[in-house]
Parts: sequence; structure tokens; C-alpha cells
Amino acid sequence: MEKILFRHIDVSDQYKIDTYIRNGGYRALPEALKEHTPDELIELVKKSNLRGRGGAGFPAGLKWSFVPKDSPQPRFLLCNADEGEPGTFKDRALIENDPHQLLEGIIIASYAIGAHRAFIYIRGEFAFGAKRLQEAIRECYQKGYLGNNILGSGFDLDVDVYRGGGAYICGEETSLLESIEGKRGTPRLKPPFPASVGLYKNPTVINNVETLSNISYIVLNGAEWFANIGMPKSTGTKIFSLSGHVKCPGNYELPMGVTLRELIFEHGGGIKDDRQLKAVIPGGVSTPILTANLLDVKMDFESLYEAGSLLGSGATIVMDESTCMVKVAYRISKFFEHESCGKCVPCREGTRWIRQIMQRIKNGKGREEDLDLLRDICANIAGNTVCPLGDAAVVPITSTMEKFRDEYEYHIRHKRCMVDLGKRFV
Amino acid sequence: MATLTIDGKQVTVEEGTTILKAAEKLEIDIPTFCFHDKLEAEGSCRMCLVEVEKMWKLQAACATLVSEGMVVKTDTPQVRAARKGVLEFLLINHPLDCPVCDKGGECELQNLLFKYGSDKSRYVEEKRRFIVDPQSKYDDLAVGPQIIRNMNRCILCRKCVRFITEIAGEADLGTFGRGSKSEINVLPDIPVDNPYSGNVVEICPVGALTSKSFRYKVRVWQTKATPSICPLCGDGCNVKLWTKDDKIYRVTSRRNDFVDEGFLCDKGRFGFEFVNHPHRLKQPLIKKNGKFLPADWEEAIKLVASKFKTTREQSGADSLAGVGSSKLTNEENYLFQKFFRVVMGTNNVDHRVNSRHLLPSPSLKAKNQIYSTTNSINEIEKAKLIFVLGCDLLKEHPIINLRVMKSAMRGNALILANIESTRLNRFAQDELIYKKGSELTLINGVAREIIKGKLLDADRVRLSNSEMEKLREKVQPFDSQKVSQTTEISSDKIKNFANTITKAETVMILCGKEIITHPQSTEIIDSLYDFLRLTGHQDKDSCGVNLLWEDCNSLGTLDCGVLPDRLPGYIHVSDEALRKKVEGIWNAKIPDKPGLDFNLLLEAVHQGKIKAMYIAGADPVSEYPEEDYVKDALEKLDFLMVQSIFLTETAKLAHVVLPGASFAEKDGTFTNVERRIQKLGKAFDPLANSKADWYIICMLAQSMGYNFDFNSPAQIFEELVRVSPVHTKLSWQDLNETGK
Repeated sequence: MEKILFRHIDVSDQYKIDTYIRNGGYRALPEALKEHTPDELIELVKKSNLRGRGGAGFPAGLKWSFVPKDSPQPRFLLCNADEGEPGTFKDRALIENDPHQLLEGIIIASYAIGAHRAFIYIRGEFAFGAKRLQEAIRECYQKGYLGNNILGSGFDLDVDVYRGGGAYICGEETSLLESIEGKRGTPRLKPPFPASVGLYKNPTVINNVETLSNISYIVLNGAEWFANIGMPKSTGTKIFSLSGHVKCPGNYELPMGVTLRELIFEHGGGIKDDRQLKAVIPGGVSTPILTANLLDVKMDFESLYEAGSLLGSGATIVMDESTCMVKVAYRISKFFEHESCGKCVPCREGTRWIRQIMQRIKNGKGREEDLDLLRDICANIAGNTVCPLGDAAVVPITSTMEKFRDEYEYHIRHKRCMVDLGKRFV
Repeated sequence: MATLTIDGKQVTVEEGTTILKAAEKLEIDIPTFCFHDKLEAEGSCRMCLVEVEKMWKLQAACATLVSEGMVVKTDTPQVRAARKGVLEFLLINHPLDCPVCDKGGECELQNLLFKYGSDKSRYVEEKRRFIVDPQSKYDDLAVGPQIIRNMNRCILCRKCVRFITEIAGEADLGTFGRGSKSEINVLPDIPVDNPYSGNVVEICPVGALTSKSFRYKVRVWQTKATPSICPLCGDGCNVKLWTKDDKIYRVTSRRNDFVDEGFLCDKGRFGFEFVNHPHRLKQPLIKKNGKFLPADWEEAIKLVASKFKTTREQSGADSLAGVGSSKLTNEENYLFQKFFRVVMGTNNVDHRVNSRHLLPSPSLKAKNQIYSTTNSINEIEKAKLIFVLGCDLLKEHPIINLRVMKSAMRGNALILANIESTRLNRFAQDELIYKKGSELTLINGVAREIIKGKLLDADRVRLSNSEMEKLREKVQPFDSQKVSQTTEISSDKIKNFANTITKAETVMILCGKEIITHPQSTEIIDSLYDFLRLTGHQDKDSCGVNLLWEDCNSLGTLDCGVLPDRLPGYIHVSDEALRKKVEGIWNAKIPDKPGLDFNLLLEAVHQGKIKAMYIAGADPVSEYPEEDYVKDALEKLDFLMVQSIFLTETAKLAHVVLPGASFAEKDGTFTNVERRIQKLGKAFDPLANSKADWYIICMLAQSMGYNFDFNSPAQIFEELVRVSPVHTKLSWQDLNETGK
């Protein structure tokens, strides 16, 4: 399968505008600006069935079409580059190696929704990526791809890079809006959705880096071409960030619907030290864990949902037989406690309570009733929080408890790990 | 309008209403923590979650807007489970120290747990503590001069922070940290010290923010809350006085959306201590050989009555004079002037002791033009341009200041003109700093600029041709160079101002003390009216000139006729027809010659024409601009009786001092700046041997042979209504709740 986004990932100076152009870049932009109306572009992306790559998988074209057409307010395009989901590192690769591919997508998307101002909200830790983007933006202004009257089309656009402060919650789109506005990064209530009331109360579209990077190819090759890649409802390719106990961890761009087996064993080279596979988290830590028997599940939105998990951001975390699931759940619970913004009660108090209980169980101080209690706490958080962080925080607990209940019980009864082969006492 | 169903009951509400408000209409109770009527909905406590058909998860009722055909359920197993869950989450880390928590008995967490919570805890982990001092087992932190924070008890509804930013327009309280470590705090060395800080204590649903002045003094259930009116400025905020025995423990707001919207300033909230002060006068004092000796009421009243009688017999009624106070109630002031006109037989009665320059008494017809606010407080936020002239709003009228800030925050224009920069400046488009005394020049200069610069829209001018000609002549001398020199404001700024004010859709002018006590106050106010007519801002909603009177009953005292030339309701004493009507009600003759105003009274005392004086509630020695002049005058008197709650500088000069009652110890009414008449509430009896001021006046009248047959302020008020054209159509009963 031919790669799309990673086609030039190995070109050492692809980040430079001249190299990007030499390799076929900035061909979609003039075509989009001159041969398409904004509505046609939205229609095109709708037809391609490109779905958001940030985690939720919302159809990008549909999102664009929600921006009120007749509103006199300014509109904004935001590129969400606050890649923070543990296990995910695809956007970073796209930004650092091929920033112009992203910028071309941003310019076309801005044109499609009528935005004259776009922001790239980049994770604070991505200092190098931010620098690359700044440089790429400067090059764009020089070449006339940004600024006033882009390529003589009459379309104006300014793009700014905004560096976050390092909070996971700011990757949630409404918190991201708050953060850009200079406030505390906490989520807003939805509705209203950002498409109608977003940045500074203006209509705003927020797309993920990977989503936007796809745009120029859809413009060049057509919606049908894109829709034919992958699965009927999950079209195109997906970059899978493969990590954990595999021989060759890294980013792999593969068509949607590739099996987990192919991803791990063909591309990832199999399990490290040839141990047994135990479990996989297929889409970042907030997606339910899969057991080893589900190796033939297809990695796309629908198939994973049917298998009881989610594609999420495509961050595939592989765990072998030496992994203690209680410890995994504890470590993730610690992450969510740390990253809960504290705005709403169930998430703020619940994530801490969960971590406290997990810590006790891990340390051999668990009680039989803790499992029911954990289940109750999770139920009281799920669905009752302002933003999806609360839902995300309970998934690792409920799914590991469901699939590896024996390990929890062993921890509680024997005050130590079931998997440690007698080596590790807790 | 949208019709929706809540718990099987249909209700029709306006579009844009929240589920919470719609449910309120059906009297369906949805519990909340972070919701506050005047703050933007945050939806963070998740206590108000309800089930909405076709929505896959529970929705926050406080923030979800209704839609046509919506079906809401507020009492399903899922909703109940969520509420119970939220309460459990809030309680796991909340210290269960209710017995020693100052909020106990009025804590919203306590109340909602009582209603919805579980009776046992499943939490076995260590509770979270926000340690302030590792040496101490208490985690109290003073975040401001009045406010103590205990973060362990905080449920992070953030109402305090939201109040400070959204309403008070400050930034001295914020949320710090993240997740379960989030805390409400201040920046190092920047305490919560804004003039509205006390509200955060009242807004706090739990014992996280408590006030230094109230905490641990008394348990709330032992106190009694009496509805009353704040006596500390003219805004007339509605308050509750929390008392036990004869002591006020705290003052909280009593929301009246016409006036205060449920907020108080710190002056009003914490400024009640004078009522409890040990130096309060508790019995009559008679000066003998230069020293005050305690006396009983009978003796004191007898002495006063005989002194007044002898003076009247020997030197005539006009040798007597009375000074009322804008801090006494309407009923007391009414009775006071009646006492002078009927019992003493003179019109020598006034109350305006704080200025050398008095506004002329208005004619009955024009009463609204000079002495009142043209606009209601609620109109303030609707005006497209507010022009504040000669007023430090924050200091003089803190609650009106809030309305003006709200208006500015909503995008309406605000322009200030003051002798020095004020705190409100932050919200103003411009603040013109003029040289003290140059107000008239400034206004006329702007008017000239408008006429000369042809900024006018002919259709909008509300002046006849001749009036226009007169105005043109009047402002002719005020050319921009001269105006700029006199006012010390650059001519560009004046031009800009002229431009803005002409173009504004609606203009409301607020004038403060600086204007009211100004030597040219009449001319200034006249010019302001001309100015509004010139720019077409006359007789429109949210347009007008408003004098913001300083004291809690300034306007009421004027209305009640404590003026040398006006009877209650501004009836001129020489107006025979109307005077006769009053004489009929009073069953007595009223002198038809105007008496002397306070300045003339002082002159007359110095000339030996006034022999005895009765001062009720006022303290001219402290309030009058020239202290020695008043002192000399009062010392010259043959007899001075002062009725007061403290031994003031004025009272010290008296021959007899009668102890009156504070606002907390009597019934009555105050009239606020927008002429809203509101009821005080008697929280406890007058201290020890003191008496309500109206009662003292009745006793004196009795002793002088006149029957002032009143048993209560209500009766006095009913007579005032019969007498005064300003108060007509009112009744004591109508004044409950929001006043009128």
C-alpha cells in the first residue's frame, strides 16, 4: 500500500518549502483556491468521508458545514496539535517532518470555511515542532501562500502558532479555546458547539493535525480516490503509533481496517523477546483494552467499536505476558488524576479516589469490596462530567477489571502480583 | 416561546430559558451548588443533572436551554444516582467538622446531603488537606482583611471567583492548581481587598469562606434575621440584620432586583458595628454646670418643653429652629417638621447641614427635575452612554457603581468627568479630569462644540427656536480655547466627547456630591438638561439627569418637607389652597412665611435672633464645611437640645441630649436615590433607656400640650400619604418586599 501522509517522511529536508514543492507540494492549494468554491470543497471532503483523526472520528466535512454561512462574525480555524494522549506520537512526526503538508491543509480548510485567521495550538513540550512550524509559516508568507490575496485568489489568511502550557485537558477542543483566549484550560459546556460559538464566541472549526494533513491529497486526487482507501465507513489511511512490548515500535501509516495482527507482527516485528501477547490498548489509554484473542480485529472505527473498544487516536500500546494489569490500571489512573482539570465534581474527586484505591490494591492493601466500589465510582463519573476526560478516565479501570478481574482478585487476596513469576513482590 | 414537559407537567417559557428556570416555574426543585442567578452558568457541580429525552447523557439543568417539545425528567433512578454520586464525591474529602464549622446550620452541602445523600461513607482513604501552616492543625488562611479561607471545605463551585471577575470586575481571587489540587486562592501579597469582597462569603455555599467579623461569634440558628434597609448610603440596599438579643452579628443581602440584585458593598455589610458600639447613648443627659448628668425621661422632656415654651413666649416662635437629618426615617422627619410648624409655630426647619450652597427648593411641578433621579436604577444598564459627572461612584454609591460597571462590561459606553481619577476609570471609554469648580464651563463648552461643530441632527433637537437661540447665546463665550484653559482638558478631548454624546442612542447622566454641593449646582443641572434637550436625549427611556443623593434618606427628608419653605411633598408654605388642605388634616395653622434655611439660621443665631434649637439626628459640627462657625453659633444659643445615638461633637454643645434609636431598633421607611420607599425592620427594642426618635418627638409634643396621637410609624406614614402629593397613592402595606 502506498503511503499518503508519510510518503516523504524519510526525506531529510522535507520540512523546507522548496523540497516540499519539489516533491509535489502546494499543488492542491492553487487548485482549491481557483477551481473550487468553498462549498464545493466542503462537499468534496464530505464525500471523501474523511473522519477526524484526533480520537472521536467525527466526519470532517460535516463539521465544516456546521459553520453558519450567513454569520457576520469572523470565523476561525484551529489546528489541534496538542497531542497528549499517552501512546500517541503521530502528529509530532507530521509536524516535525512535513509541516507544509499540514499548512497546505490548513489554508485549504480555512478557505473552505471562510476563516481568515487560523491558529495551530501546539503542545508546549513540542518546542522543536513549534519552531519548525514557525519557520514553515515564514516561508509560506515569503512565497505568497499566506498573507493577503493568496496566489492572486483574493483570499487572505494569517496563521499563528500558539504553544500550550502542557496540560492534557487543553487537547479537549473547548479547553483549547479557553487556553488560546488566555484563560484556565477548562472545558466549556456543549452545546453550544465551537462551530457556532467558539473562539472569542465566534464560529470555529477545530481539526486534528492528521486530519488536516490529508486535505491536500483529497483535493488533488478526488473524494472517490480517498473513499476507496480503507474501509467503507472509515476511509483513508491511519497512522498507528505502535508502542510497548513490540520489536519495532514507531509510527506506521496503514489503510484503515488493517488487522491488529498485521500491525503488530508484520509491521511491528512481533512481541519483544518473543514473549506471549497479553493485551493491547488500541487507541490511546482512554480506549478499552483488548485481550490477545482479538488479534484479528480490524483497526477502523466500526470494527473496533464492535469489538468493544475504540480506534481513538490510533495509539496502539502492546503488552506482553509479563505485564501486571493492576499496575497498568493504577499507572493510568495516576495520569488521569494528574490531568483532570478540576472543574467538575465527578472527575475531580472521582479520579483521585480511583487512584487512591488502585494504589492500595497495587500495594497489596486492597479489600474485597473495593472492586464493587470501583465499579460504582466509575459509574458515577461516566456520562456525568462536563467533558470526555471523565469518561476516558474510567475506561481503563472498567475494561481491565472486566477482562482481568482475576488479577485484581489475586492482588487483593494474595497481596501481590499474579504475573510476576515470583520475582516482583509488591 | 417554547412548551416543554417536565416530570409530566407542561410549561411554556420564553426561548433561551434554562431547564432549571422552567422547572422553577413548575415549582419543581432541582438542587444546585454552582448555580447563581447573576453569574454565568458554569455547569460544573453536576448537581442539577436531569434526564432529557433524546440526549444520550444527563444534562446540567442550569445551563441547558429549553426547546419546543422537550421532555425532561428530574427524578429518575439515573438522576437520583448521579445526584447521590456527586454528593458522595463532594463529601469524601470534606471535613466532617460541621459542629465547629461556622457555616453549620446554613450550609448548602449539609442541606442537600440531608435531602439526597447517603447515611454512610465508603471512603477509607486519607482525606485531602490543604495545609497552610504545617505547625497548625487548622488550615485557615486569611485571604483578605475580612475573609478567611479554609480550602478543605471548599467544593470548588467557583462562585466566589466568578463573582469577583464577573460582577465586581476585579481579579484578586482566582483558581490555582489543577484537578484535585485545585484551590481558591490569592496571589502572594495581593489580598482580596475590593469594596465588594464580603459578597464572596455570603455566596459561598459551604464554610470555605468565612468573615472575620462574624465567624465563631454565634450559631446562626440562635440569631434572628430581620429584613431592613442599609443606612449607609442613598442606594437603599435591602439587607437582613442577624441579631441575637440586642446585638447585630452580621448583615447580609436581601435580594431586591430593583435595587441591589442581591449584592452589598463591604461598607454596608461590615459597617453595622456602630449599632453595637459601647458609646451608644443609653439615657437622657442634662448638662449641669458644664457637665452631663444622667436624667430620667420625664425630667428631661419637661425641661425641654418648658425651655421651648418660655423661648417662644419671650422671643416669638421664629426664635426657635429645628434641624432634622437625612439619616432619620421619613416618618420621623415628617413628624419633626410637623412639630415645628404646628407645636412651635415656625417654618424654621431644615436638614441640609453639609453645604454652604443649597439647591433651591423645587416647585411641586418640577420636583422630578431638580431633586430626584429621572431614571430608575434598573435603567442604568440599558443606557447606551452613561456620563458620570463629579462623582466617585465607588465611594459614594457602591451598588449603583456595580450597575454602571455591568453596563460597561456589556459594551455600553461610559464617560467620566471628575476632579481626580476614580476606580471606575478602568471601565470607562474616557475620564475627563477637570479643574475643581469648572464643571459649568465644561458643559457649556461641550454644548457650544455641539452647536458650532454642526454635530446636531436637527430632528433630534428638543429645543424651540427661541430656546435654541438662548442656549446659543449662553454658550457663546465658551470657546474651545477658553474652555480648555479653564477646565484643563485638551480641546481634542472635549471635541471627542461632544461627538460621542451627540451620536449616542441614549444618554444617562449621573451627578454626585461634587455637583449637589456645588456653588453653581442649579446652573449646572439646568445646563445638563439643556444639553440633553439639545442632543435629543430628553424624555426617552434610559435618558436623563440623575442626582445621586448621599444619605440613606436624603431624598425622603426633602420629600417630607424638612425645608423652611416647603411642606411635605414640596407644597410651598405660601400656596394658600394647598396649605389650607394640610392645615385641615393637621387641624392647626401653618405659618405662611418661609423660614430660614440652615445657613441663614446660623447667621440668625449669630445675630441673636434664634434663641433655641432642636437638632434631631444631625451633627452639623462635624458635617458643616466650617466647623468653628457652627460651634460658635450653637454655643451662643440659650438652649440647645440634641437627639442622637452618640454624644457627637454637636451633642456635646447641647443642654439636653436625648438618646435616639439606631435604624435597627425602629420601624420606618427610607427613600433611596431612585425615590423607592423601603421599610426598615425593627430587630430589637431601643437600647436600655433610649427611645425611637419618632416616639421622642411625640413625647415632646405631648408635653407641650399637643396631642401627636401616633402609636407606630405606620400611622405616621398613612398621615404623610394624606398630606404629601409626592407620597400619594402609597400605603404602608404596599411597601413590603421590594418597596415602592
